Amino acid sequence: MYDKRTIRIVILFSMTMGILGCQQQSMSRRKARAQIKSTLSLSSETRIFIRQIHNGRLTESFIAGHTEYLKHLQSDLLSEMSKPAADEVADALTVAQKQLLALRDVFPNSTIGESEFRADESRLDDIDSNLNNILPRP
Amino acid sequence: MKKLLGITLGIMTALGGFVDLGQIVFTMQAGAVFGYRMLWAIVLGTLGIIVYMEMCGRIAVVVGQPVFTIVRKRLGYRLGLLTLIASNLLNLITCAAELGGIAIVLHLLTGWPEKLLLIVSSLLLGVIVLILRFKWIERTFGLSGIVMVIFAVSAMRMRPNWSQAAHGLLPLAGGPSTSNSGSLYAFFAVGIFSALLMPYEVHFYSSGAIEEHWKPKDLGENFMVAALGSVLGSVLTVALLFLGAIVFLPNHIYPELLSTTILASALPMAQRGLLLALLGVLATLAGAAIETALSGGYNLCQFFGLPWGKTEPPAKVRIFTITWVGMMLAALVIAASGVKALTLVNISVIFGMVVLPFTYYPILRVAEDKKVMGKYVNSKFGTALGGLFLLLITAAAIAAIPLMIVTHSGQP
Repeated sequence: MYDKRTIRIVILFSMTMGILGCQQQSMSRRKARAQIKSTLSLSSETRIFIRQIHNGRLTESFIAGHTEYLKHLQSDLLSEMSKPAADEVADALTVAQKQLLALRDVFPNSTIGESEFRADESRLDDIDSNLNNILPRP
Repeated sequence: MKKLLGITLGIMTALGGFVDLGQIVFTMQAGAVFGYRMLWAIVLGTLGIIVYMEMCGRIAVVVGQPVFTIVRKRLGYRLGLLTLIASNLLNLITCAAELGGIAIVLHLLTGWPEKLLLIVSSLLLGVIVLILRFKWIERTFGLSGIVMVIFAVSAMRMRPNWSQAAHGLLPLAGGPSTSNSGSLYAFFAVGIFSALLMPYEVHFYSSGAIEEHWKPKDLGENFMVAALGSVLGSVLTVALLFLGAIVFLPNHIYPELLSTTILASALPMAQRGLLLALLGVLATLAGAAIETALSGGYNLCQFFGLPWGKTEPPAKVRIFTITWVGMMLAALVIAASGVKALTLVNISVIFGMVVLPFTYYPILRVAEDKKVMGKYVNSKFGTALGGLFLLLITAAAIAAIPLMIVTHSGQP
């Protein structure tokens, strides 16, 4: 009914679409993993940052400036995460966005007292734990 | 003392190339992802730039020809012109990135609005270059860049793992268990190697040697200046890698901000350490901005055979002066347009990679030409070494863009 050439084209087309489809799927997972890892990175950096502030090792203008840049980074990450994602990672990304928003509460003042510092560290522990739970495998 | 001050040309050249905005962040990222494993790429890149800085300095002294005169003669008008356009685009984008970086550092130092600081600092930098003579520019920014040593002090105080660092001298892959770790490793290795050999370093160095009126009797000094400046730049690059490996790798941090890298250097020190780190970065970024803007003027005038030189009165070298001032103003407009400084750096790296072989090939050809160089021609060993590095540079140039696409600009 169909000549060999047509069959070959159909097979080749199907294979190409299949490969592209797989790539698309794995790309989504990889991208989600990268975004969640970026959130984890931001959380770890915030931990070091508040520790330095707590120890009085940073100047006020540096604290204000670096906080501003971290907030920009957080906003960029949040808008990246808000883009449509594959079903398999959509839930994980929703959780990651919540953690990213929770990180906002930890962003510091120019001085951090002992009790505030402990509370912030505990909040960061929770954020890290939640993010590690949803991190897709490579 | 005069000889000692002569080294400032090498220091300013190397610091501007080795520890500019892109390199500070990129090297720390490499340390954050691969620990000490990229050490070999820094050593290799340092050897490469010493070989070629010495060569272009020697050509400038013996023949009195800077890099872009050679480029035109050896590559011909068309290819030479393309190289000129690409090189000056690279200079412009890099200059814009450095001006953006300066505004960031000043914002962290003072807390004043970043845009205002960008405009004021760029104009001030332009006025400084306009007023100062070449030797005072190199002395001011070469010597003040030495404050960056605070990064090395900081890395030493954090006790690097010397055994792992020794292993890093061998190009052995390894690192994060991601699906693209091989290409990521290659991306960072190529990026570090190429960034140490950025073309504007040799443009500036050879022009500087002519500005300083070096004579054949200064050739020993030429090697010393090229080697010492590059070794200092290399030590600071190693310190950045170490800080990335010590501070960021164990904490799973991927540094994406200039302020994050400065924070790392300030960890083992009090506020004074932080201030020194900020001032050191400020000096090297300012040096790099001047280096790239002046290189733009040098390249254009040398290619078209027009009079040039910072030691000459501006009215005597009008096109040269208009070009570097124009470069700085255009860079200010780009930086003020809101494009992130680190995004500009990523773009400049692409241009840099493409231009590299077209800059280094003509230098090697002239340095090995006995008719041109006479008794100052390359030794066989020098030519072989230059040839080997040219091969590596070409391979890196070819691999750079595909690696950048595959790794999404080095995202782990």
